[in-house]
Amino acid sequence: MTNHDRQRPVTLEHLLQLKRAERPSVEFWAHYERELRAKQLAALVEKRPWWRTVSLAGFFGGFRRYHLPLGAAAVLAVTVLSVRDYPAPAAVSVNETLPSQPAGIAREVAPELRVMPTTVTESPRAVSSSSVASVALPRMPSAEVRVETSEVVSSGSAHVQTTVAALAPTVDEPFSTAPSARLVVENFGSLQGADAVLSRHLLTPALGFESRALPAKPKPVEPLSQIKIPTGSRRSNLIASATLASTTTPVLANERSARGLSDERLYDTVSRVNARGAGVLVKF
Amino acid sequence: MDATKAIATKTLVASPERQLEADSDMEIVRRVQAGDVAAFDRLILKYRERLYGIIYHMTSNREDAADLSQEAFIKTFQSIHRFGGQCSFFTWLYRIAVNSTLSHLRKARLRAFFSLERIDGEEPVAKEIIDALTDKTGADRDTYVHELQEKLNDAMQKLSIKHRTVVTLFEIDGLSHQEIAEVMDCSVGTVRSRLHYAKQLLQSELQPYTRK
Repeated sequence: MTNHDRQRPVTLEHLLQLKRAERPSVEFWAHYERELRAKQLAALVEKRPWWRTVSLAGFFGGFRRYHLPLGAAAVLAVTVLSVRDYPAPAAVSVNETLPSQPAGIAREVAPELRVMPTTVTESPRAVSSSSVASVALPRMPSAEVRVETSEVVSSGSAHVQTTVAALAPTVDEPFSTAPSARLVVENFGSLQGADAVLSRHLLTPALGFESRALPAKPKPVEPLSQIKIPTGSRRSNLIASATLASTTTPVLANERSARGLSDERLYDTVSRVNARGAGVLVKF
Repeated sequence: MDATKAIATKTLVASPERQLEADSDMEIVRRVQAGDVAAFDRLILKYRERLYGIIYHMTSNREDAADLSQEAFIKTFQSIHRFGGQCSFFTWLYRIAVNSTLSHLRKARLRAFFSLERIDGEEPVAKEIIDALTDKTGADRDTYVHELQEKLNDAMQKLSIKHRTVVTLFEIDGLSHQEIAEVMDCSVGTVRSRLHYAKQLLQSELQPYTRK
């Protein structure tokens, strides 16, 4: 194969120069020229799209000296838009009102609230305390949801009724017409409407359920008042029997003590002789 | 003509011959831009063999080399009205051809196959090298040259695309480091580094055929 005995050195550069000798024949170049001519004519006839004709390098070359201020302005604009559209969520502030001022707070909140139609208050005069929570929703700076919690205390039991009133979109704020805020408001309104209808359908048949389903209860009567006073003959009989019993019992006691019988002996006597029905049972 | 010289002075050329060549090319380019389409044929005839050779040594496929070199000439012709002389014409033409070839090689990385040209054994430089490598004659000599050619192409294909491009432009086409840096749009240091690494790898691959 290789001739290592020869004196002339062969380096890598020599081998790579050998590759220069890889050349096509003259006929190849004739064919090459014909093909190139045909492709060149096809490229001339072919209609190029407009974006190929626009030189992007030339277009952006004019802006090359302004790329830094333009980039900074773009970043600033994006930052301003981001901060404007997506503010940080405000802290939830809950204002607890004193029990001594419930009516005043309710009156203050009332004009801004659209009270739910399903709100049923059994005795508004029995409101003992109320609290108003004002919640500012994140990403919706114009929509403010106010939650009023009232504790309505009736005479027998205490009911806690929560009235949720929402939708105090202030018109003067610029983002009150934001799509997300409007969507939330509409969904909340539809949810409230559905809740009202559902409550009406569920609660109306339930009213007076006890009077329809259960039978009428009898009037409670005092047991002692049902005892009748006995008549005169019956009373005399009862008195007589009671008197006889009180006289016989001491006789038996005296007789036993007279005989000197102990209780055990007496017990044996009684238990060994037992008369039942037609027979007499004697135990030994 | 003064404008042409002024533009040509901005180009980075390696030697006075390159400078004269760049000036001549720029004059032809001005004629083509002025509407003399036939003048572009002179540029084709001048650079077709070198351009074909570069692409052929990068792809090791003669059909791909022909198609890609023709595509490079057509792209150059279509865009010649935008050429303002920021670099020499041959640098611009080489850049278009090398970028098209690199894009083609990246797409066809998994289906590469060889289609080699025949080594002209009668060329003085090639004949001298072949004589130094073997004393065989006749058919044995041709077989040996063909085997050596395949080994060379195998070794070149083991290089990465960019390393192969640097070796082709420097060792085979004879461009300077500065010209290669302009064509490949990288620094001269990068060119030297790639060339050094590529030659190390080729040296290890072609060790049986070299002799100090």
